[in-house]
Amino acid sequence: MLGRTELEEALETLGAVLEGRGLSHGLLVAGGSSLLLLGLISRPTADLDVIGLAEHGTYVKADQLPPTLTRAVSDVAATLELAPTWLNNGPAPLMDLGLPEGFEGRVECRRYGTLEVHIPAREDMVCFKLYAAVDQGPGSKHFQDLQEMRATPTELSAAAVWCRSQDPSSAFESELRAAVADLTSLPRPRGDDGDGG
Amino acid sequence: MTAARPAQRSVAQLELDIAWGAWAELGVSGWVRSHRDWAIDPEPLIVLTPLLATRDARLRDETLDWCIAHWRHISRLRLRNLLRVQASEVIDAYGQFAATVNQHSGANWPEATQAQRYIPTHRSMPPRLSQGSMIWLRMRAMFGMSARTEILRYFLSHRGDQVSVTELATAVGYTKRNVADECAALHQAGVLAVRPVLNRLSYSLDREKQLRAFVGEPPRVLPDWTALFRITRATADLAGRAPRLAAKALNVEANRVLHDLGPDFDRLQVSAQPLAGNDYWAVLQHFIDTTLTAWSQGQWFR
Repeated sequence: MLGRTELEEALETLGAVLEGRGLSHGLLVAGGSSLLLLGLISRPTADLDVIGLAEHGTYVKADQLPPTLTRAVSDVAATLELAPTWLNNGPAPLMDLGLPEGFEGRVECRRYGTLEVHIPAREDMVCFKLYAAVDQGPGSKHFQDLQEMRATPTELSAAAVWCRSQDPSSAFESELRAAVADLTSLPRPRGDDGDGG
Repeated sequence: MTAARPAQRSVAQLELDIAWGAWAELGVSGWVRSHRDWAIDPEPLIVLTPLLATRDARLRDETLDWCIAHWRHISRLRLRNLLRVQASEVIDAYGQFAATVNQHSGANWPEATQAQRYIPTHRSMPPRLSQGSMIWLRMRAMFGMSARTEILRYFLSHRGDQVSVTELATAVGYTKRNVADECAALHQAGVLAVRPVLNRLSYSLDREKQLRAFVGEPPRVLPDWTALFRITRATADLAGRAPRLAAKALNVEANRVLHDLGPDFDRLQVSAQPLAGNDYWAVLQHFIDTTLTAWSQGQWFR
């Protein structure tokens, strides 16, 4: 499992390797690892989920990772004793959902050598996490992540609107309402009384 | 036995020293004869030398001179087969070298491209086939330039081995079909023993004592030159790039090189000493300071 320190170390190493090989790549990431990089959660994560590739100022779905990147990822894994899939494109179909409006303008770009890691903003991660939490239930890591992020009612309401645009079915709507209700009824840490973070 | 790495001797220079040592045994005019205890295999040397010679004009001139005068000792079939698995930079450099040899001799070496300028030095000597280091060329003079000779060479340098045709073909640089035919003939002649292992035939030398008595006792060091040069090339290449790499990247590249060279280390029965922790560049540096340095001085060090 990757904690924040290990994840940063792996990305710094990958960026250095790519730079040494005269390569550069831009990756749009999502999932728990993104929250870890943003410092919004602390739980270790199994991998870094790549959903898109930054190309010519926009994002394209990461159906396949470039072979040069895959080779570098594998070499870093072998050296740092990480799982070979520590960086993978498993959740790339997330791009099929359609990104929240204004998504690209809110992305935070971090550079590691010639590697650019594009991290969605907190509000967009709340959208993705809420959608996944509805799908996988209150016992899921996504639900826990939303709790740890201390997603506010305002953020959850905005995220719910985006989730509804992805799945307009009534069954989904009822589960979505239940999930939002569960999350907003949870006791909030002292001093945390509204939107923020 | 350990060798002290001469101060400020780069890995690229160590690689050149090994090549010079081997060429000096073949009869190229050189400063010292450091590799008289090594059995020299000319084709892997010819394939790699043109690339090394881009850093050493004298090596280029003297080896061209030797090849133009003594090309009849060289197997063009082996050259062709060895070239199939080389990096493009090796093939590119070799192509010009081969074209120059072809232009000034009766050779017809494969993959020749554009001939270079050539000024004869006339300092090269013919190989002295009675020398221990010339055992493989001596065997060619005895048995002919063929896969058959290379098969016998393999068994003399790998005592007690039992190998399949596929393994043998890879090791000697001839095609599988050619090696299979020659193994069958040598078996009929009673030179090789054969036994079925699962669904394939495994060959071994049946008359080693008689063969050694006839061709002469091999020298002390019988390296697989193809594997050896792959190791020196990859190590020198990384060492050359090392100053431009971040420490984290260098460690990853060193680990990759060590991993990729695993089969070659095995073929030479050499190990790159693992150290504590994951400092793979330190492992490679240790290998350079001990094994590679010893090789450059004509000492065999595992």
